Amino acid sequence: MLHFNSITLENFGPYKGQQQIEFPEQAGVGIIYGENMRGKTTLLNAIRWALFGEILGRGEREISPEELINWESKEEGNHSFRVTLEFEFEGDDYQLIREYRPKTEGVEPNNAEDYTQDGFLRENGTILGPDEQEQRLNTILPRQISRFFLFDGELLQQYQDLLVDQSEMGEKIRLAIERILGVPVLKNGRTDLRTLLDEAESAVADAASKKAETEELGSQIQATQERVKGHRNEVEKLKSERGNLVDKRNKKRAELENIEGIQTQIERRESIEAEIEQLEERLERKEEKLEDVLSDAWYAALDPVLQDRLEELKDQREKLHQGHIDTQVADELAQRLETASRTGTCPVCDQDLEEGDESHLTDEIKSLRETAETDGGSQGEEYDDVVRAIGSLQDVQRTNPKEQINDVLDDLASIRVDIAAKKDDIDEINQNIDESEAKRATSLRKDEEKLTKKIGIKEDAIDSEQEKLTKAEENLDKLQDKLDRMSDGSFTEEKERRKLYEDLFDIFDKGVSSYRDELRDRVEEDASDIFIELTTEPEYARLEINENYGLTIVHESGDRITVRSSGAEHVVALALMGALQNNAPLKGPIIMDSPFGRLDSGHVRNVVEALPNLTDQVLLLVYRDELDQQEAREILGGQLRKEYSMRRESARHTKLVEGGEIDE
Amino acid sequence: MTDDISDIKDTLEAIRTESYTDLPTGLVNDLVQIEYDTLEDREESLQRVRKRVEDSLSEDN
Amino acid sequence: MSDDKTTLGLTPENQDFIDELEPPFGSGLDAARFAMAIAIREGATPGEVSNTNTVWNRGTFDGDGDFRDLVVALYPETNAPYRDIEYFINKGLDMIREHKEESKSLNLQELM
Repeated sequence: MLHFNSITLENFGPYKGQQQIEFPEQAGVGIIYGENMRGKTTLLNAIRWALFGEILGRGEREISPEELINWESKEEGNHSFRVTLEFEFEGDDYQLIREYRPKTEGVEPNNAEDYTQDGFLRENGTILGPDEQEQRLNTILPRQISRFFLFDGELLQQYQDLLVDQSEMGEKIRLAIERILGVPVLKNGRTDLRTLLDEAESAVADAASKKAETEELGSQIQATQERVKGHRNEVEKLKSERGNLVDKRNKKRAELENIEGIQTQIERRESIEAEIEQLEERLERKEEKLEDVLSDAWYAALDPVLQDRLEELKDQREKLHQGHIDTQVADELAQRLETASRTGTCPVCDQDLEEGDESHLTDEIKSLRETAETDGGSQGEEYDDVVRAIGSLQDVQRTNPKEQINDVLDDLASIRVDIAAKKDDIDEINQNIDESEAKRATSLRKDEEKLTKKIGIKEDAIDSEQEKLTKAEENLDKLQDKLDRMSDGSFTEEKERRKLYEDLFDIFDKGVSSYRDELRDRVEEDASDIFIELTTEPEYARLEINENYGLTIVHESGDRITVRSSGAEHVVALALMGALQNNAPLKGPIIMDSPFGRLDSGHVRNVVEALPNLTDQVLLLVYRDELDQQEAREILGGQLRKEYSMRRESARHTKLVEGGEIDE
Repeated sequence: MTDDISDIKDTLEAIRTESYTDLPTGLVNDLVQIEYDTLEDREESLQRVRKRVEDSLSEDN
Repeated sequence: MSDDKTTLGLTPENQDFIDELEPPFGSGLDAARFAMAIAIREGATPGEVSNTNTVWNRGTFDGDGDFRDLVVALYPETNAPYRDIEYFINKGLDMIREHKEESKSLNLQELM
């Protein structure tokens, strides 16, 4: 069991001078209270740096140690810092000292190149050599699994990656987990036995090639063994290359995520650009429509004039028609009166006309004749013209397209306004994006795409090589069977050795998957138990684990909860951590930076209560609003072993003070 | 890494008793122990495994 | 009506201007017809246009003879409807150009 005793910081980050934290000796919880920016994360980084020589910032970006020299002491001319970690492991006492200082004493350093780093590990008082030191540290707390012990609440994303099956990160983390859980023991055994099995098979083939009857077959086998070895090596090589490409890509992705907000802005910009494109297509179509409807625009302009003229002409026609009737009537009447004048008899009553009537009649006839004459021959022509004109106007009549044209024009205007507004939006986004970062984001994305392609190609190559390997292995088996049949009774020693290695290899091979499955079951069970303790939702029944140790919440109804609050994610991650601790051959302290950030008070209570059960040594780095001091004391009771607070001495100087009250 | 690897030994023992009863007792356990002890040193693990298996073969003969 | 024009033309100024009307109009023909309508609506008195360059055959402009009949219906005293049409087209284009210069842009909704 790994047990931290103390950590001493000298001029590291905001910790000026020498400051120490003593971890409680007995099992229990220690809490360090400090506001944000006071140095909580730096404390975690101090431990990380002491153990692995690295300092991580947001998104796991490595920070240059130069940035962590305490400012005030730097101003006073001191350009170095040191971290000392004292711990116990398997009965041995260790002191780990890591120091960062200028390369040349007395020369003021300008940049990172002017500095150097030294690390010393003392085991029970004796300093270990550099190789031994590395080995020992790797055994005590391997770097890849450190994330499960040095838990940064801000890096919850990593755990969420775990929960996605098939993710690259998920695969890496799975391997890291299996490391803690002992699977490497089996994998290494399998690898070693494979090597030795190859040797044993070679030995059989070698012996066979030395005997006349089996010489040819023996040589064939040797050649095939070489081929198999070659393919195996090639597959390994390709897998390792693929791994490197995936690492590279993950780095790019991490950097990409770091360009905070830019990504979202860029995506938004792209989405708006797509919308503009669509609008422009609509615009084009509308403009085509406009051309179409404008072919009748002349009618729209002329319609009122035509209507008026039509009215006029109709009136005229009426008049002409009426006039025509009048003349006809006058003519008829005149004729009758002329007859009366001639015969001297009234055409109506047949009585003789009297003396005075004659002249009256003559006047009347004259007047009627005048009326009948006015029409004349030309009246027919005029009437025809009018009728014809009316006909022409009626021919061109149609639905007035004015409304339709206006609609199209309105639509066009509206689309243009939309486009302009969206272009304004883009301008605004562009103003907000630091173009160089945007370029970097674009270039990173291109790199990412390229790498994805390369990874795809590499994977195809792996598959193809794997196929060749399989074929070669099949060939080899056939040849070996043939040899065995042919050489019954010969090479017994070599065959015995080979059989033994075959069996051992099979056992370890099967053991790997068998053990993995058992482990996963155990982790699932433990994680479920812890999760139930931590969650505030009574309807959650348990957790279910996937290939990559991702966890899904299962509702008591059997439904899987796929969409979760960040509080739930948090709690699931903590449950996993606890389960891993339970099942790991490695037991050690858990140090958590802002573990409660996103949790509501119900969850916080549950987590604090469960802490002492996670492992022997728990150290929390929290800020005041995250965890109420009184409440923590109340919940933990005797399990709360130590309290520290980070007191502000100045903007760049924090003092670690043991005990009590938090700095207001 | 500390604590016991008895889980691993148990898992393999189960496989051995099911299908590989010819194998000498203790051999598999010893190999697991070797691998655990030499986690960081692949060369050493190979050497020690080879030796242990050879010892097993000579014991039989 | 045998004295009437058989072709319709535009003044050089209007030839240039009509290009500016495509778009929104799909063709010079559509624009010309529209211009003609504008001129008629605005009460232009038919007259003659000088220095035109032929652009259309009257059959192209008025295949069915509808426009000629229209002009005759509106102006029964005319004895050269196509000459009138040519006049209206050019006059209408002048008017549209004036409007465009004044409002700085072509506002079809206003013109219609």
